[in-house]
Amino acid sequence: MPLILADENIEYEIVRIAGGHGSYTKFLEMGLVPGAKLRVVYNAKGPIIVSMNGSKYALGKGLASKIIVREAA
Amino acid sequence: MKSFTIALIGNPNVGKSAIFNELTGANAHVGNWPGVTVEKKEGKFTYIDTEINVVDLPGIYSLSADSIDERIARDYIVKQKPDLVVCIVDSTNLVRNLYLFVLLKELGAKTLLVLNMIDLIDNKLEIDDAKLSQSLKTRVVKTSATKKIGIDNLKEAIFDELHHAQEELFVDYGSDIERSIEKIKSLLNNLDLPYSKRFVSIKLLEQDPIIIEELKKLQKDNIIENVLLEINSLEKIYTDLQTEIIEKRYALIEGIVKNTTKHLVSIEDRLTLSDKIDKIVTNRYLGIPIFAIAMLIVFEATFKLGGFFADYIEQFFGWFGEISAQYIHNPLLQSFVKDGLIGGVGTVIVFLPNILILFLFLSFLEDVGYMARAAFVMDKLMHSIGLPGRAFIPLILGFGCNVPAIMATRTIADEKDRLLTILINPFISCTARLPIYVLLTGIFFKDRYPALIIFSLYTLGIIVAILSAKLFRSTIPKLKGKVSFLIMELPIYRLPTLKAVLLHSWERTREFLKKAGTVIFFGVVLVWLLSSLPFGVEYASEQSYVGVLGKFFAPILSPVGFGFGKRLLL
Repeated sequence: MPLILADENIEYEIVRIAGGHGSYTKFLEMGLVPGAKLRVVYNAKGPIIVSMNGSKYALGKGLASKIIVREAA
Repeated sequence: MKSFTIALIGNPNVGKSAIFNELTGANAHVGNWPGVTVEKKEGKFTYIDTEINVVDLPGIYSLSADSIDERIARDYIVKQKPDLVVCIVDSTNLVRNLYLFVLLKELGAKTLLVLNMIDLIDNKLEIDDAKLSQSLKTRVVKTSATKKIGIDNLKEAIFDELHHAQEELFVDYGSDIERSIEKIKSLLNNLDLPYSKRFVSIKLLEQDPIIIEELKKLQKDNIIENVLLEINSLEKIYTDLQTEIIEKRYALIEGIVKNTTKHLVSIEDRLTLSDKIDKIVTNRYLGIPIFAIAMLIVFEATFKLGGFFADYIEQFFGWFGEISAQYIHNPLLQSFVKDGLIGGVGTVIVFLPNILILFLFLSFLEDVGYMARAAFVMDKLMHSIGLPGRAFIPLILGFGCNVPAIMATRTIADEKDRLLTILINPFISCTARLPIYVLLTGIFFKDRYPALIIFSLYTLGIIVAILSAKLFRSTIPKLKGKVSFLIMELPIYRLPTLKAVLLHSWERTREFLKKAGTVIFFGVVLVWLLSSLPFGVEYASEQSYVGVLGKFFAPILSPVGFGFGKRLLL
């Protein structure tokens, strides 16, 4: 499911990033790569805040709807 | 004395400036990178018999050259070839921070890895630095710049590494990509490029715009065509080649970090306090009011405190002018020193307390980590006027002085957003405009509700800024397009040291002083000249050029009640 629909305080794993092909290298390079685990700290349905590897990021709505995640095992 | 040059590099918020200050004793020379308004800080220190020049590169996450900062850093390393690149990382987030480090290794730079903020992982995370050093083919030093831990070790390590050769580090991209890299490498023979062949090959597979551009300049379009063929064949295996390459780097880093660190408690514990604060300050309903109150307090304090000091400064310059006048007997020189020089500089310096105090508050909020949250909170509102939330910080800084405000726009990666933020910034009323507002208010409204009227002048500026943003966005073709907010790091809350905040705000205030010392000063001298010429007239009297100008505008201005003197001020 897209990250924008994710619940707060549950750990997710990034499955893939829709629309890829270099359009989002910036955040891939910041570590949002498939397989990375993240937790949604705050989901305002606009921008959302996620925590990953001990750092927090605010993600724009557009980006958050393109990141496909699943609940981490 | 022998002399070497080293460069400091690192992600944003890793304490790079603090390390720079500790190394160089804050004796920085500040200039600009050629061709761009990005600040370039240089300093130096001496170790034994060697002078070591330190260049501070901008805070960046990668070297892909899609923002000005990244381009500057990469160009510097490639073209100026510093003797050592010191990569500073945040020990609490090794994985993401090491990404930049791996890129530096790929670029072929000689490196030193600094694990900064080491005090924050005490009892939480153990890092085996010997093993890490071995895996990353670099020397590793642990520091905490704010607690002044490990600085001497760092100096020693820098000195040592300058005299040692270093092994290269290769990321294994898997047999298919490696085969393409070899093929491209063989095409690059006899080419004069300042990068290693492997780096160029990998970057070509990533379709790096700068390297493609450089090849085109060398008229090697045939290489680009071959690269495109390679990319096409690789994309039959990997649906997204660029993602694949980035993932491979992360896979290497994650493997190394797993092997060299041990978590003593879960990372989640560390985040709770920060999370709790964020729950409140970024709350859907509370976020904006909290931010508004914070700003209100900042401005209130700025003008109350600043006004207090400004009065004294004004008195001082008045007194100073009188005193100096007593010692100069040539009437022309006397007038120049008193009315022109001292009076002119005085009118500028009077704003200094306001600006310094405002920047002190804003720097504090920024260093604490709140400004990033403010940008997040304001994002929705800013979107509605066609700007990303991040553009909000430069706009706020504009209330202090538009010069550092415009310089702050460089963190906005998207060029359209950056240009637009710069364009509307002058509509934000800086402190220097306040006296003019006070004057106009006094004239037009005869002291009725002065505070309210001045406040509405500020608001008017903001409204004009918003309207122009909308207008520019919809009419100027170059600025058309969507707002580009993608990702922004929210740094962990921490209490900055007093020294850090002071330095930060001083760096910004200095920009104002620079302008004051040059442009404004010349303006002031010009006004003095106009007021004193032709020689022999009484200063600023009706016979002087200013008087003539004043008379010329009189028909326009007298109906609203401007006296002669007030006309001059405008």
